[in-house]
Amino acid sequence: MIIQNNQLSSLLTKIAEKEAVTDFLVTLHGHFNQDVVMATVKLIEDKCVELNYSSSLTTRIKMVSVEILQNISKHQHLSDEVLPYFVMGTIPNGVSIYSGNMVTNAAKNLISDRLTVYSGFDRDQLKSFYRDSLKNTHISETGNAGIGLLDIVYRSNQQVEFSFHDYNSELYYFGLNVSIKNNK
Amino acid sequence: MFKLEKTNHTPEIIIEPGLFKMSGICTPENPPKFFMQFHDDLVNSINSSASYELLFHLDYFNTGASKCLLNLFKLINDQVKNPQVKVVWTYEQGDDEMKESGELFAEITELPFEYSEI
Repeated sequence: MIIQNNQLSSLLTKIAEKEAVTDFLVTLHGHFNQDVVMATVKLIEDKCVELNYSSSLTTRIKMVSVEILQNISKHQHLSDEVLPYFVMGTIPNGVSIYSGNMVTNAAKNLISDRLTVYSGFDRDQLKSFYRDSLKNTHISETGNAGIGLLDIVYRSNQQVEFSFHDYNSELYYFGLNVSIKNNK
Repeated sequence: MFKLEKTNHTPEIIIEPGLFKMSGICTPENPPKFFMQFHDDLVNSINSSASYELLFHLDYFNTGASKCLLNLFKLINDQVKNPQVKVVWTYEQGDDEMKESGELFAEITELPFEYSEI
């Protein structure tokens, strides 16, 4: 769903109803920058310690979170009318992350194609594809390695759902839901 | 000796005879720019040491940094003429995720990796 700038509470209600989230650890809605990203990951780390999550699960949660948050931060300039959000709640054995941000039509097609391919792999295929992609990808001068989505899918053990909602003729709202559980 | 202080999103870097150390969080917004800061010093340091240890203790990193780490390992493997180079990949107790990240780098490169749980 597209989250207008006064509708975060309705989003939280929908998430809680859908997935039985027992506690919301982080809710962000607005402008993101590197300071917000790093403060958020530190908060997430502290919450993971409070919840006695294993160090392995905590690392996976932090690495997926920073990938989603930095991606939102890089691409948030597309609209001032509908701002991005990042929500993390606890579920049995882990956390569920919901994010939303505006993307272009070209990005929509790229994201959709990639996530569809990644979801079709079995675990061994995914690991092999991840290794080959890391080995063969080129990083741009601005630091884009093009494997952020793959990293999210890999570290979440393919627990990823996504959707797109039309905003106007050029922009779509990209909704992402990633679950990270202690059973990789 | 070369040293970069850690920040809330970049690791501490220490380069001294026989030792390179990277520790902390590695999520720079522009990873290539960050890694370029110590690239030349590291290569020179390795080539002028009889043996060399690259010690990593990372909290977490982003995919851009992951690619830059791999490029760094490839560079050392391909261009550095010091055969006595090893990577020591350390991680928190029970952090299999971080250990697996190191194992993946080792699979792709041909550098000798040692793993140490601390």
